[in-house]
Amino acid sequence: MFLANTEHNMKKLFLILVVAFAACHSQQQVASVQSEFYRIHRDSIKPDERILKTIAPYKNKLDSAMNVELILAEGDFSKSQPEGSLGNMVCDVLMQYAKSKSLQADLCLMNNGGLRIPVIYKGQVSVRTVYELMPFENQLVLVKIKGSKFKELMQMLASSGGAPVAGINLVIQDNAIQSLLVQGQPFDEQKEYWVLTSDYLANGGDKYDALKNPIERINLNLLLRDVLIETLYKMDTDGAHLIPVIDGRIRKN
Amino acid sequence: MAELEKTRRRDFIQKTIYLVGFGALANTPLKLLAKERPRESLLVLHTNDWHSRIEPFPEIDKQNGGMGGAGYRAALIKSIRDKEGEVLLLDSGDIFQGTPYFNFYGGELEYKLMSAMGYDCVTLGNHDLDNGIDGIVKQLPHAQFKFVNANYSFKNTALEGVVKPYSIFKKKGLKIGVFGLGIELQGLVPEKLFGNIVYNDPIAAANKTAEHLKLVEQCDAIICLSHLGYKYNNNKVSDLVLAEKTKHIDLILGGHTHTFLNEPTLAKNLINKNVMVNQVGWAGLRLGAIRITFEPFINTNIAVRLKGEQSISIEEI
Repeated sequence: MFLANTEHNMKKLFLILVVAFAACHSQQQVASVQSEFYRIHRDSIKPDERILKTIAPYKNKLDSAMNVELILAEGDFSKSQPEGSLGNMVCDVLMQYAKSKSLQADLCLMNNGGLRIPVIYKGQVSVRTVYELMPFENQLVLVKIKGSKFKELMQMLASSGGAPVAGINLVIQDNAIQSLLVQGQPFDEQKEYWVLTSDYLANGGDKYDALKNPIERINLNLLLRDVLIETLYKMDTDGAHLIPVIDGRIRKN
Repeated sequence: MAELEKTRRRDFIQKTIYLVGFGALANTPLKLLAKERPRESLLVLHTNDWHSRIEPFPEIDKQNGGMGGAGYRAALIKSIRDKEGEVLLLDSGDIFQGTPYFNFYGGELEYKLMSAMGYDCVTLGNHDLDNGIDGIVKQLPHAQFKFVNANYSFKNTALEGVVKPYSIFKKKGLKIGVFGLGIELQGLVPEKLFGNIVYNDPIAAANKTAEHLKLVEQCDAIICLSHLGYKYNNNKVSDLVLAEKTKHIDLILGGHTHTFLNEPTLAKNLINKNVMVNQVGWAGLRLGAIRITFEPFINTNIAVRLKGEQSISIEEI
């Protein structure tokens, strides 16, 4: 009985010590939090000269290459779903490139996440703009897929609300395909189709699994960005301008 | 939780001031709070998703023209430091990728500038891996700040031992635990770029790390640098989910979804304590500034045990 009590008291003492330790210990906790944010704007603060000096040599080297003007945009091009003039332009230009190289493509498919600026504004489109639009080192590929896979792809577009495309007319109802034309012809599940896309998507990026394990795959070994720069430059040489287009290639009912 | 003041000062210092009760003060009326003696406090500055926006956006950009830019951000941070003394400066990832600066220089300038600005700690975003693991390793000589991530395993990669689960900062006599969380890489980053990095459940990693920081390291505050994203329409883990399913985290500074929160979001954690979730958009357009005020730590675990002593025998403790 006595022993048991001692043990009891010792445990109590131990507990008191633990508590005492906790009480005199200086650990703190958050009492309150106050949040604010600053908008960073060049009109309101003088830049840090040391930082500008660090940037200067990098900037100077870049500017000569990046400020090259490619083509005139006659309006603003913007990213949107189910279709946007920016996504449409990119896919149309890539299709035009394929055509100029006699490469057969039924569909050009990009992803919204791959277009990294929301708007290209009216005015001269520079090399820098294209770099900012497509900064990734993604390459252009052609994949041939079965009609059933093509349908899966279209279903994916329908349920995700649309992505940048060229070559099809897709009508979506309740997140499902209502009607589909490919190169102006009704979709035929028995046929095989060529898709012009990025290696990122062809490798299953953005969950486009229907592009994986195709019947055939051609790696063009060209960066998407370089293809865009080259084609826009050529279009300008031919006297063309860029005009924003929304033509109902993907429509939601 | 109450909004005290929302002031619009000069154009660039648009402040949203927002005071919330945490800890023992959670239910204290604000009038009483105002009479409290001055407490220890620390200012936490934060950014996310810089995406190589070294220069301000060009004037042609109708939305962001003239905004952002490392030179201006650095000047702002310096002016805050001049007034404030020590601050904690953090970034929630995706420092890399988005302008030709990254394509041509691989992130060298980004790390150099952040080091010059005095960043303390960053976590990794998916785009920080755009030149692969080696792409980060190559720029490490330019980075004078810590890298944290608690839910990726870097075993057998060149980042093993470089990116640690957490880092502890001692500022103004306070001890702040900072840990990082990253997004699922599979399907987002090409496999050849993330190599042997293994993604683990962020909730489990967060609970384990935060508990360690609070109870073993005895940190005064715990900050999570997250690149999970603010919120999703599906059941994908996000900062809001993280806040609700964890304990011991005081502040979640997020990224990835480029969310501009004019006010931080207040959530309740597993044990019904306040957690603040914030994100400041992207591209270095904004600098978040969060003032944490402290009070003595009350270990709720011990408090509960003490209460129990009255009714249960001590052997059961």
